[in-house]
Amino acid sequence: MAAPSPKSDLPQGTLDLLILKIIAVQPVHGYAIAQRLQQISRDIVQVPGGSLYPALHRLENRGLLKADWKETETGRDAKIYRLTNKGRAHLESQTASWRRLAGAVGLILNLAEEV
Amino acid sequence: MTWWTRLWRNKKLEQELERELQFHIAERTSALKNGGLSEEAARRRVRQEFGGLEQVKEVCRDTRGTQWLQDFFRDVRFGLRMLVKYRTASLAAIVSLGLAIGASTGAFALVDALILHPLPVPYPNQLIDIALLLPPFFSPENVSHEADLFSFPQYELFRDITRDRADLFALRLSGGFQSAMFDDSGHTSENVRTDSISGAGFEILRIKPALGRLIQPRDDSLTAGHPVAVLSYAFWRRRFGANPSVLGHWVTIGRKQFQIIGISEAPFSGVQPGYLTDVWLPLAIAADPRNLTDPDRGEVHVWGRLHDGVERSQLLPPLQAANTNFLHERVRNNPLRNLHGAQLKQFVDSPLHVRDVSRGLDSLFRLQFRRPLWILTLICLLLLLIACANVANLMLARASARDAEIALRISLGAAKFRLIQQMLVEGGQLACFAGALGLLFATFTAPLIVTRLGSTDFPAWLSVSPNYRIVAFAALLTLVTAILFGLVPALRASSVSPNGSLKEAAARQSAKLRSLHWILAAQVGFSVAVLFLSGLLLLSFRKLLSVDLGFVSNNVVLFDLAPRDPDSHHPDSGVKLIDHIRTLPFVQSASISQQRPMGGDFVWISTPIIRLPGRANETVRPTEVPVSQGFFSAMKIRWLAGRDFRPEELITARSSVVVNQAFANTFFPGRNPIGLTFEKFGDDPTPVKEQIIGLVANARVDNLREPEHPTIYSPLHDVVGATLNVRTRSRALPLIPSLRKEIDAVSPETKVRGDILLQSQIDDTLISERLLALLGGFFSTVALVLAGVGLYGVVNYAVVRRTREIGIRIALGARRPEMVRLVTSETSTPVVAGIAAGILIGSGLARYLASQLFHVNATDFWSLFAPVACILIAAAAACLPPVFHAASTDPLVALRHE
Repeated sequence: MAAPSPKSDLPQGTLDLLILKIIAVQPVHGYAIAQRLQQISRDIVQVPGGSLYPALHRLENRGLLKADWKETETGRDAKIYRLTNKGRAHLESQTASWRRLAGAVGLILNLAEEV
Repeated sequence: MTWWTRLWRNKKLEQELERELQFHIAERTSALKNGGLSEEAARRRVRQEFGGLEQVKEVCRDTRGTQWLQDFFRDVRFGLRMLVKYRTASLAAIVSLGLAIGASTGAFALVDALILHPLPVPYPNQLIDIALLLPPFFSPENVSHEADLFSFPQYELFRDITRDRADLFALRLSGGFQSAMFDDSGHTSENVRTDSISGAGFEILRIKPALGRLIQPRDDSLTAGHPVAVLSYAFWRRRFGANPSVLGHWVTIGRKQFQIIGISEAPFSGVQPGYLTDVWLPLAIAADPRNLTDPDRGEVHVWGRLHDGVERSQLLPPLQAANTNFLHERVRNNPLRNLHGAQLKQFVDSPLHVRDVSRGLDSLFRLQFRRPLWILTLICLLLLLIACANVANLMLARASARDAEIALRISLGAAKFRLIQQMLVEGGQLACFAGALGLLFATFTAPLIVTRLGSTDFPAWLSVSPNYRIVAFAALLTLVTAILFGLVPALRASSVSPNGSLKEAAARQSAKLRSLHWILAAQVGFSVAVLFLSGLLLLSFRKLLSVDLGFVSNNVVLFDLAPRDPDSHHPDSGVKLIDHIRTLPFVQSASISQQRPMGGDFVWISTPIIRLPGRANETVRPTEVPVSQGFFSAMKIRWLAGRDFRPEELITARSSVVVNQAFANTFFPGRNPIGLTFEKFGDDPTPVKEQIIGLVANARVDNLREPEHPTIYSPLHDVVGATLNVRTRSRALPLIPSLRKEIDAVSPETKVRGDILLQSQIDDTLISERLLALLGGFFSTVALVLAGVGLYGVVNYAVVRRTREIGIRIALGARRPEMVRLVTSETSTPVVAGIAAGILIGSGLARYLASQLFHVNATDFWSLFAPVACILIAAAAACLPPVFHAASTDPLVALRHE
């Protein structure tokens, strides 16, 4: 329902991969994920709540993530997500296939420029 | 978390979602505030970035995969509120649907119990019986028919020859009740249905005892057996209140005593659905020993169970060979004298059939009611369709009242399938309530109908308690009705266009009217079909009631006589009895007949082969009715010529007969039959020469449907098992006790087994016809009312909708009859179309009724005219109030009203 902003116009399925990658570094809550995505991508990837949280819940329901409630440094209770073994395996296979695909797309685009 | 734990922990999930999102918003807001924004600006910024909180929540909920179920629950709650809000209409819909579902389910329960349900034994489709297809010359109607009774030696032959492929056993089924005396009841006897079975029978059927043990092979031996008896569960409950101490008690049946050793398990009621076998006896012990060795006396059914993997066809070749050899032997030793060479050969080669008896043996009861019960189910289903149409009308009207609500919801973004789902849920709820009501109704009515099916002599026994098949049938009907009446409004609601909800009101009104008209046409059509079918049944019943009996039935009472001691023989007791009864002041006349007059299907009537002098055997076989002197005057059968029997003719073997008009017309056309002779073949192979001494008018012997058949009345020699017919001077019913006393006093060697008024006896032969006519009449009334209500609704709607138009027209000078035409013209087309369709449907279904009808055709004037007239009258009555309203519209009021 909530339309993603133009800046976060990610290819289908990519958001899941990025989220898993962020969480793989260390267990983290939803707000921090959004911040990191934005920081690391230099403001290119901006995820609205209507995309981030459904994605997180979907991944949790699929058993790729697990969540616990913990107190953060600011003193508030936050839902901290961490990767399950299944999630880790999924991340690895998805990363590999993404790299393969990105490389292939890059090759083709380069070729087009040379012509 | 699986999806159902997510469902059950919904509340917790909701809280956590709220907390998680609030955390995000709070963190972001404080970050922005730290960056220098004001509280207000930070909040606005967060809302922009994050999106609407409720929308985000909604998308998150969707990921749980339980949303549809929660929507469903919400729809159910909403639907219940709607049911309560429109409670009168809802109640009317539930009751009419519920009654229709109940009637259909009840009818199906009867069909299931009597016809469809296999015997309650393990692997019933392994059960077989054996039948012989007899050549046509064995039947009075000259058609080949299956005979399933064999002599005991024949059974033993069959059993031994098929030992490697099937286990066979013999059954001897009694036609009706025997009198039995239980040792707990002193010396009063009671009527029980007793069947006997080979010792291995229960084992082969795989029936278990509910108590004690069942008959076993060692019980069933003529020399070393035990006289034991097994009671059926239902009889044990009814007669002994399920008291286990009944084991070891004795029962006297015929002249033998049997000790009760066990109760058969509950669901097994016998091998003939429709009848309950009260007591089971071992066949060899219960039978007359002479019959067990007589190769010519066919009196046992041969049943069996195929071994695993054996087909019925594999059983046939050895059986056929054995039977042909057996009959060949029989014909050589004891030729049937009334057959000539070619016929004998044909008889010996009669083909055997191995039949599937998984659904039990056809009882007379089943044969009699098979068709009527299907017809009943059919009419009930038609009624259900009418009720569906009514409820569809109602739902449509309700849906259009909610157009505004629906348009609003669509413009707020509700998905169409959600709206359809909601409408279907509402319809489904209505149907579920109706289905539950129907099941309840069926549970109570089906047993009531069962009690009406049987007569006093032959009570019906059917277990129609709810089982999974009946519940499944009711559920299926519920589902189908929900779809039938729920889908139309649902689809229509989903086609509401939000921006045109008010603007296009007029256009949509006419679309709504169109669908109303379709439903109306269907409703009228089904009603006409119900009226047409019921009309046929009613007309046919009327015809049966007005049949010319040929005798006078009122004030006649019938007493079934039996010798008190079966061994003693008093050939003159009958004459003595009649003479005494005739002297009583309140008796007008008395006589004795071998069979009960108008005994119906349950009385066996002999149809001997006759031969006229100088001709071959006649193909038409007359009916033979042995009667005493005075029978014709007692029954008031009209004398045409000749004389009655003389008292001495009843005792001596001198053969004089009285014949009826049909006999004279068939065999001696155009001649005076008095004094003429013919030869008759009875049980004895040598023919008897009969001389005609009297001629009487045609009279019904057995039932009302029979054609006027050639009949010979022969002198009754023996009163054993005969019926005493007494015509009283005043009403017969109150005189029965004193007549019984007189019989006991004058003829102590005779006992009265039962009594019945001749009129009741005739009524008993019409049970299925009366039941169908009664229910048909009831269902027609219901159909008419439903159709009338539907029609009223549609016409009234049209009038209300056009009040303003009518007002303007009248103001402009239109005359009132034109207004009547205006509002009725729209409905007349669907009504006429419905009537035509109804007649077509009815005629299509009428051929299933043909066997039930008596002198009535589907194409008769009255058969067609009566239902059309009824529906037109109902339509007129239903249209009158709204039409009157239209015609009396005051233009001023109508216009101001807008």
